[in-house]
Amino acid sequence: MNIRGVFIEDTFAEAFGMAAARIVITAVNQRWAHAAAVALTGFATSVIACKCEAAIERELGPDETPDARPGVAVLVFAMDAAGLGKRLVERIGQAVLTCPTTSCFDGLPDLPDRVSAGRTLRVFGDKFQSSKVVGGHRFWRVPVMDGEFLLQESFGVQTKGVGGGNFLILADDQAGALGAAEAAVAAIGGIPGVILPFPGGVARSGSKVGARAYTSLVASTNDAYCPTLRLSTDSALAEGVNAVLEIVIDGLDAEAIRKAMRAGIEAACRPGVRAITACNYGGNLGTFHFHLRQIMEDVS
Amino acid sequence: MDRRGVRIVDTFAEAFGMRAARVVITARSAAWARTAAQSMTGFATSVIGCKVEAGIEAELLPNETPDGRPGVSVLLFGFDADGLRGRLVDRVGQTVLTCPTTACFDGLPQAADRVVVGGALRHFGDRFQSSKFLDGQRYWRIPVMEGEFLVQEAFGVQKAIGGGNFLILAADQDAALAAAEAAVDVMRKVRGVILPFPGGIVRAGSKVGAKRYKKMIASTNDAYCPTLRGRTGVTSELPEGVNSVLEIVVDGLDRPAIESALRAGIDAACRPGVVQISAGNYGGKLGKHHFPLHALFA
Repeated sequence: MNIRGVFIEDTFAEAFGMAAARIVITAVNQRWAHAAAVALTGFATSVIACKCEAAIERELGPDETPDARPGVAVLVFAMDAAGLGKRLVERIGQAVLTCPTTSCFDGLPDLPDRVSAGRTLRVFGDKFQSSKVVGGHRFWRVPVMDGEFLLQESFGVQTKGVGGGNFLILADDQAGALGAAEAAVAAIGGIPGVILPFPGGVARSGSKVGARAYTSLVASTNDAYCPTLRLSTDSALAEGVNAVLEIVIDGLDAEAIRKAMRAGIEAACRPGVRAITACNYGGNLGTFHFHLRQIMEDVS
Repeated sequence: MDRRGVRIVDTFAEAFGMRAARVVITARSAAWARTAAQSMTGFATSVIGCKVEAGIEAELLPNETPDGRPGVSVLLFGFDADGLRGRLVDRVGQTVLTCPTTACFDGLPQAADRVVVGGALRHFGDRFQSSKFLDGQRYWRIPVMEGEFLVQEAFGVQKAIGGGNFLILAADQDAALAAAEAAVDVMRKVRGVILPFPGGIVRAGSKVGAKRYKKMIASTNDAYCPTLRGRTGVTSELPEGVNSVLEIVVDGLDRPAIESALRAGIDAACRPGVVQISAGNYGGKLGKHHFPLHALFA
């Protein structure tokens, strides 16, 4: 399969089941909602080292938020609901509770599985906090120095979240790979239900499970895809490929990941790119397999 | 003491001894260096909740970086050198190693205490990594998919100060926020300091412990909460007419850097709608670094 001269390999991305939450942060203006969201989603690239994966899903207009102020939707992914609940407490407590003018709402209000992050954080109010039940949901008003922090008591958990959707951009050189990756990130931006957890949406340090040289490492560089190692290892890179970048996608469900992969791959098929492939572990580790040629079926 | 009609309270900010590192991230463009730095410094507002406090110190021009590319310097603060080493390995590994086109250098090369960072991360190279020794410093070249990640073996760690601060007491939320934004703008130009909270400002001032929950190590600073004025059990510190308070917290490499930042920030915050500038302290018994506000303007 070819798209505009870029070869689409007959392979699949292997992804994993995760638990996900959507946090809606609102503030007096977009700048402060964004400041809280940036602090909340930092150091959240991989669940193994950061305990969660998180990023901004999209900006929200005043007509899309519960309190009619400008907002940002953030998605947070963890291995399970219990872990997710802890990460929400830590990150909302450190990055939203602290941030001027913000309020914090559940962005998945219809889901039956719930974690009560707001109930844990309310005690910061030292029993000066109070609560209201509105529309079947409890909200806490925690007194802070600039007024009150309004926070929803519980957050919906999407138990069918998917982490680790991905594709690889194989390019002539670093500039070609980066230009295509940036185009893919821009195309995926705005698709509901997905985030790109790596810095700027792009990962350059693809890894393999374990290591050959160090027995205790859980992951090490994916030498088959490192252009500087073409002659030192069993390389997967064709002649002429000198830089590779990966886009990793976490989504609220498999369909959201498919849409994001399709938009991203289509945008990445541009001059300077030789091929698009994907990362998998032979299909035995992850429940979800995203076959590139199926996803791109009617594009080529 | 008054400054443009704003009263500067005769009190002091109480700050703590910490250890700091400076990470210089360079990249193909300033935007990618900033992207890595933003990811590295997220979830790093308080050392108790996040194990580290971190922020962007400055953007660096190509003539200010070791490899002649645009860069960003980040300061990270921890309780001790060993904790800081762990955080550097975690955060450089997750947010710089992973980020396209970046390289990562020690920004405190003169510091005598050094912690091994690149020397730990090099294992990601699965023995395909190699090293170079230049001017007494070892650098690792770790193969990644878009080329190589260059990272310095060891990073300097120095004594530093965390928790410099001042409080902006204003007539309303708009005035407090505008004054705090003005303060942040000028304080970010001072080298050797960071403002670890989101956007540089914190509105969740805390007191040690809690009155009503025994296990809490910190809870809301009810004396500075405008909605709690007049509530039973609250001895408010807020004068009549103050309806919103914001705090700027400053971590710095040394005392003069924090003093410069406090002086510039307080001066910028003295504007219409602000009633008083004060500071947070614990009676002087917890932190060994005291910054009396009046002395800043003596």
